[in-house]
Amino acid sequence: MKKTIVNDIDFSRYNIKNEVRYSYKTEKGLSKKIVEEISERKNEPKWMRDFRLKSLEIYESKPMPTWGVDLSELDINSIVAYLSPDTKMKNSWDEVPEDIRNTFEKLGIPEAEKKALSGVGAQYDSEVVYHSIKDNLAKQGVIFEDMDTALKKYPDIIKEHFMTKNVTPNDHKFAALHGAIWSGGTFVYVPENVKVEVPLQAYFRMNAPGTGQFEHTLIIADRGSEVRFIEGCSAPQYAVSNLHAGCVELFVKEGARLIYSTIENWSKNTYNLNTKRALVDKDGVIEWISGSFGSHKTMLYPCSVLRGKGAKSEYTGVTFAAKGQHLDTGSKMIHLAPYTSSKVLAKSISKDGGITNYRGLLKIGPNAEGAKASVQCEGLMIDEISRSDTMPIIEVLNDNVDIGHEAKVGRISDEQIFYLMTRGLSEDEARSMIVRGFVEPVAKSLPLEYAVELNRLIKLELEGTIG
Amino acid sequence: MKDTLLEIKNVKAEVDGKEILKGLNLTIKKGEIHAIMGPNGSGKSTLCNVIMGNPHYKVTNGEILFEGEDIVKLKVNERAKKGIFLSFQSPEEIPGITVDNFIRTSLSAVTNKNMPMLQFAKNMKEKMDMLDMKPEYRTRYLNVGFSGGEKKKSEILQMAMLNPKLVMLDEIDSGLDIDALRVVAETVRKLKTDDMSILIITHYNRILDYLEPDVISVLANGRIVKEGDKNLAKELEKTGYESILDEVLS
Amino acid sequence: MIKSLDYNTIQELIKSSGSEEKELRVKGYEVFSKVPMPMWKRVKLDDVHIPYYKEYKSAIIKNEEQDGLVTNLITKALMDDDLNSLNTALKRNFGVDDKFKNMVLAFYNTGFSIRALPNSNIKLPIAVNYAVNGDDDTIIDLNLIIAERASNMTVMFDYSSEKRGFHNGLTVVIAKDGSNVNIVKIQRLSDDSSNFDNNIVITGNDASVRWTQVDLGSRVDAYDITAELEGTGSSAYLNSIFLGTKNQSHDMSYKVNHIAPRTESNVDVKGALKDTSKAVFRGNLDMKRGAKKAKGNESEVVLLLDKTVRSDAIPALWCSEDDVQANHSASAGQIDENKLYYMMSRGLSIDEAKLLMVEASFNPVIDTLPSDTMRESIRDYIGRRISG
Repeated sequence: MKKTIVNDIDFSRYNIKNEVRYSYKTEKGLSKKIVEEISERKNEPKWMRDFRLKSLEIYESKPMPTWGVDLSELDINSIVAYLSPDTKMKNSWDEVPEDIRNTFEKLGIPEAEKKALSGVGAQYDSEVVYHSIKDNLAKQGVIFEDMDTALKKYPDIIKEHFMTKNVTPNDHKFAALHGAIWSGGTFVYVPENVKVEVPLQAYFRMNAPGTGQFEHTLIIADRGSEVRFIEGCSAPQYAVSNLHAGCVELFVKEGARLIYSTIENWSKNTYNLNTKRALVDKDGVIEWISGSFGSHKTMLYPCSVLRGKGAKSEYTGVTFAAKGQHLDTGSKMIHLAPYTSSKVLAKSISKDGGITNYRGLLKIGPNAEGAKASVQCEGLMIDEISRSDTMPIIEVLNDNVDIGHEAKVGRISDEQIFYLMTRGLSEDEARSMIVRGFVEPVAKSLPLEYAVELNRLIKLELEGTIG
Repeated sequence: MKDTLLEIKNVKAEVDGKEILKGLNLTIKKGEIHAIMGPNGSGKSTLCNVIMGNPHYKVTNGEILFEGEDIVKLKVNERAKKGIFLSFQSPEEIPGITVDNFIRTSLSAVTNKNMPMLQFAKNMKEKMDMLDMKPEYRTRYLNVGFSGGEKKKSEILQMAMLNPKLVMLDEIDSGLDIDALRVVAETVRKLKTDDMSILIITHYNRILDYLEPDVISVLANGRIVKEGDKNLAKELEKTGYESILDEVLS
Repeated sequence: MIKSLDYNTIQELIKSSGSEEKELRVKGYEVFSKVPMPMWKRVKLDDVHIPYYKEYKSAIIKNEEQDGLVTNLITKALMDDDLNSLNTALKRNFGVDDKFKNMVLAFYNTGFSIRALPNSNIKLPIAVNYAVNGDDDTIIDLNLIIAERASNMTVMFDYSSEKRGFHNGLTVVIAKDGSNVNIVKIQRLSDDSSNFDNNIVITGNDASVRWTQVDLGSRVDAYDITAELEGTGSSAYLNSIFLGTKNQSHDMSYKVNHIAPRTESNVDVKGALKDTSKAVFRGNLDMKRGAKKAKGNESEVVLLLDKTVRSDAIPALWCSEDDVQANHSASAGQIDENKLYYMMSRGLSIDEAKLLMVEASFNPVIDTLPSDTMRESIRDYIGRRISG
């Protein structure tokens, strides 16, 4: 199951003159008025409107960050925040940009889906699929709803958890921005001891409007539950506003287990500034599986706060930066309680002048007796014009710990290529195989179809045939 | 000649600017087991690498005719597709890629066909049994953490599956204990067909006890300096390479 | 005579110096006076006071008269050659902080220039001792060590004190083509002293520099060792041990820049922390574009001996060249439980066992020190601090 969101095509780019087809479009730039309009259009309760306005204040009071990727070309005020509640994603297939169409071809996305995914055609029969899954889940008491709807259906639980104890608008400028103009997203609640068999995919709520750049994902895995969530997909995602400032808040309660997989492949003009954080209680487990491919610039540091005794977090990620891309990613593991453990495996690939940074934080607090942590970073440089940097920070405030960090960088060795060529592979095939081997730990943690896509995506990236 | 598989004519080759092969001549017939012996540094490994087409080695003179065709300009994988196989002395480790996956891909590249899964599995089992390799190896990452002996067996497994015309064994006896050596050598012998030639590079010649050569050539100072039959090995054991060199230089 | 670190003092100092030396001090002062005291997040400088300017008369140097060796007390005179070398080094980015680095350039009150002539093999290690001696408690040393082509030498620096002192130094090591230089620095100032050290190593083709750093004393200790591997085939091996006890703070920075091809480096840091001590390890391994076939390795291992210590590590790895091998590792933890049990079953108390483990970790470095008495004295010191 693949998904592409073609949110809004900036027709001016392709010099196509068309009437404005959307029923609603906010004016350029952010202001109180606009935020109020957004809230009103969505028919939100007053507390959410107030929350948005407060966030806007905080956003305006904070300066742009001076570290990480270069954000100087990002003009937030010229965002056309596309947030209409009743837009249907309908375009003509011919208007979908050629490189996107080509990518769909190469990724083997079937015809019908292509059209649906690019907004062509009416409600796809995923509706049917979606509904049946929803029904099954409902029987278990699982809530799986798009955020806008959830806000109205479950106001108490949302109010309690939405940007209150986890990510807050005060965290940083883009969290505040998100708080002000968030739209769409997913809400998942898994009741105590329920094990959800099927991985929940954001794809399923595709028919919810306002998807894309400012989605808010809130997942609460209640005690003893198990659930797997897959966000994003490998097909390119287009956004007119070249900013993706989403937010993911995860609550893993006592003894629960949550696997959160993401493959991000935003289009190459996007600034991807995402905030993801998990709060893990006693004996809870969070596993992050992350593949970052697209975007122009990304800053992404999934954070796990291990606040309950025995809480665990594992992060497996691969970052692939090609020409013109600067992907600054990493993971933050914060150990606040005893016998917590964390493991990071971060792999990065840079090619054609692409830049990858691993920026990680491993913090062991004074109460984290018996904490164990390991970090392994590997950088693969495909050529001599790219960059791969690793900047981890390790802070230890307790002696009863076992911490290890390792990083290494290198290239695909000539000897490895030669060896593979002696077995009949061409040089390109050899490179491709080695890179696939390199990302294997991430691929094997994904559901099969995603793994297949991942491999294909890598092949395309290596060949340089993607955008 | 119709039954000539490989003909190396007056080949000079250098690596890192230093000339190692200084006008080497060698002929290997179809189905022949041909051993190359010689002192260290004489160019034995260089010879294999030059036949395989390792880009680090530059051929500055001469021809290499494989089945009558000069292959000097062919890329490494093109030579593999022609049926040339090199069993490495220290094979590379490729983390993340299983033995199974690797061999399937290689087979598909060399034969240009996809072997059906069942047949592939059957073949793998057959060959692995011959080599005394446990089935678990199929799912292990290629050569990662393999002992010296396991690596050599992994090489021969690949050879067994690819069924090449020219098999070059680069010092396969180094690092193998007696039992492993026997298993490997016997497997090679069993797999050998009349259409398969074997070029054995050896320093210690233990392997020649299990794989009896038809021809033994001695490589010294970048050239083949002497040729003989299987008895030459015993002679060399007694007298050492010194005597050959003296003989040649005098 | 006690004077402030101000413009007047500079004027006095340059009254009788040559024009180049004047320029050095004046330029240094310009930067020093403009730059504020740094605010560090990890090692707090609250109780570090900018010292007064004092002359320093207690520098001792041994084995400075050997064939092929030219030694000079820098405060007596700065040779032209020396100044040139100094200026080359100053163009690079190194040092704990601009404030401290330029303080030395402006106000140095001691230091040696030590030059091994081409092809000379200096057999005996040159030993320099800067000790706090009575009122002689402000050590601002500027050292220049130059190994001419194909020469070999070992230079040892020992910073010691029984009572409170202030040390801020700058050492430049230039290892020209084919030379081998061995530097040892021992820092064992008293528990209430402050120590700052700015070091840079520049290598020529096929030169090799070995640096051994033994960091034991001071309340606040911050140093930087930067190695610029700009000669093809050159190498730098930096081995260090550090010990934190009571409320000491160590901020240690190692920067290795691989600029030329086929350069090699290895940074090996072993530490132990006790009581409420703190350490920050900053390792920067930078493989610059063009440093083909370079090999770099950094590793840090810290033994945590008490619950109340704090250990931070920032082992950064920067890479702009694909044809390299670069590795970095950092680890922290307690003494292995099994080993502890084994030792105790042989009669050692927990403390004795801890000491033994620290010694085991430190010995490989201590063993490389060129003097027997030095080794003894350091083992002794460590023993006392760990058991105390």
